[in-house]
Amino acid sequence: MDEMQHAPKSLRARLRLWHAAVAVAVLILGYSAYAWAGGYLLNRRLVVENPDGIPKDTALASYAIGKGRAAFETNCGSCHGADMKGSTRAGVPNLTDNIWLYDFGRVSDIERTVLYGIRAGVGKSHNVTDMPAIGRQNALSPAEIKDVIAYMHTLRKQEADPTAAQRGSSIFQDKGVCYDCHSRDASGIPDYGAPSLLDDDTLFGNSDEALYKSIYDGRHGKCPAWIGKLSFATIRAIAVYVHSLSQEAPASPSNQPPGAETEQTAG
Amino acid sequence: MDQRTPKADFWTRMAEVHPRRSLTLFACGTALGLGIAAYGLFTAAGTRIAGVPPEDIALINGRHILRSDFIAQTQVETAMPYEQTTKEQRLKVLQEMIDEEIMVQRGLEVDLAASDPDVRAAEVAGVQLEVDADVLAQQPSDQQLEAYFNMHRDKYSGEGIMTLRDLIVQPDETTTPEQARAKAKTAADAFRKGTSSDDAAATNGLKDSGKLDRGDMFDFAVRIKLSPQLYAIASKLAAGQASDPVEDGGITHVLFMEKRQQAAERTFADARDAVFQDYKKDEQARVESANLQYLKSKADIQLTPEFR
Repeated sequence: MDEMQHAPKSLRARLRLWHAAVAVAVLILGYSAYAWAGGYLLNRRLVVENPDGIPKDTALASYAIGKGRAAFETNCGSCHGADMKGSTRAGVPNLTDNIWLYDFGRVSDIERTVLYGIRAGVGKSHNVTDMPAIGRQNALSPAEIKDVIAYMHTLRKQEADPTAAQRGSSIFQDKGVCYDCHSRDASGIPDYGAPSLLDDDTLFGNSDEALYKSIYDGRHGKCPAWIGKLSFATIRAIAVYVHSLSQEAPASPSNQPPGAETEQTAG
Repeated sequence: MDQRTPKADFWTRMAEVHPRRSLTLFACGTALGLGIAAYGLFTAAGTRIAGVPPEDIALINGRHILRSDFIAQTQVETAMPYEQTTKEQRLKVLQEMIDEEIMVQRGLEVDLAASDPDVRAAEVAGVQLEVDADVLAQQPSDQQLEAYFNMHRDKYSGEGIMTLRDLIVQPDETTTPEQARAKAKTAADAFRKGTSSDDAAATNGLKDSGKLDRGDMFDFAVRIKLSPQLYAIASKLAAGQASDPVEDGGITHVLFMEKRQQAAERTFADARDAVFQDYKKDEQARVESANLQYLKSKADIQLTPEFR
């Protein structure tokens, strides 16, 4: 400080200016570092935590939902729609209900679909099987397909010709081999992505024409894999966001997530 | 007179430019920067990531084991939600995943693919499956299939049968091309008027080219044996018809169709299943070939002179 007092006046003024500028820069850098560290720590927690526990952590869930909403709208909204209701025209699923094609709608399940996609050409994609073109392959005749549709209507408590439905039931359980993927009670097998036929939430619509086309021509829906394109924190945030607006699948005898039996017994 | 004190001179000196000092500081900074870069680039410790990234559960020689994969694997192996699994169960699963990763890395290290046909086949199949993913998932519309059917109608018609003779004028030094054509034309006219092919040939000095068998032949067999020009002419002849003289390969030919059974045409509806399969196969072959072409364009392929 002694030296400062002895410095020329103009030099002292310049130094004060420099000190002020450095102080402002340090404040800005400090605040940026604080903000970055806050975001970094939240992102870190987001990817380190058990995904299925995140919805119970209000602060983390709130951060993830905000981050996930923005990422969903940018990357997923073009197919799923900003409202996540999907489209039966394009076979894009509604993500706001409790019906899941693959797995059970837990954050960890959704995250894996976002990470690796469906039939996305990535080794870990959901790609066990697809809906075969049963009509085109002449496995069933058009009349037999119509009988199976009648049977599906009865499963959904809808009106159908009982004789046709009876024939459809036999075809479902025997010649058509439909039970192999959709299970004997038609409640689906989420490991295969084979949907339950008991509800009327059908990916490509519920009209007879749409059902006929699905059975006749087969279906092979796709969802891109986002691994390598989005950060892991963003992918998990999307999963938490989707989970926050949907519901997990209800347990049924042939459709149970791991531990559901334990939980039911315990409950 | 300079009234400044020695302490004030300190600031003045500090504000002066000293080229030697500047260069020394510049050299020190450069040396430090290069040192750090070299350490990072050329030493294993420098390239090692400090700590495991938060999205991973482990790093094995720099290869990631994702938490998401670990959680899924734990749930599959224990058939329990992840939060209900014990630390021992998790450690067991982690150990298995590490073991697997190490074995895979060892396989890469010893270049198993170079020597083990099963590994090579699995790698080829894996790459093709990845490339084919779009095609396998694609569901062509009826319009696309019908367009494909129309472009490849010959694939979906049954084979026709023809009893055809490909006769030539024996070339020799005394017969001019004009004379050869005249002989062939006379023989053709005789055949059209009902003379047997043997008589018409013998009378005019024609002989079999030797390309066709005597008797019935499927269209595809004739197509293989005759030149495209001759087959195109033959395929339009009906029973009892003869072609005009044709120059092919410097020889005068004439074709006699003794019997003809036309190929049966299939409709799109009849052939739809086969069209679907062929369409998929062609699409698959197309993307696989495009992928190979792209990979080859990036590859450094050197051939021995005899195969260049």
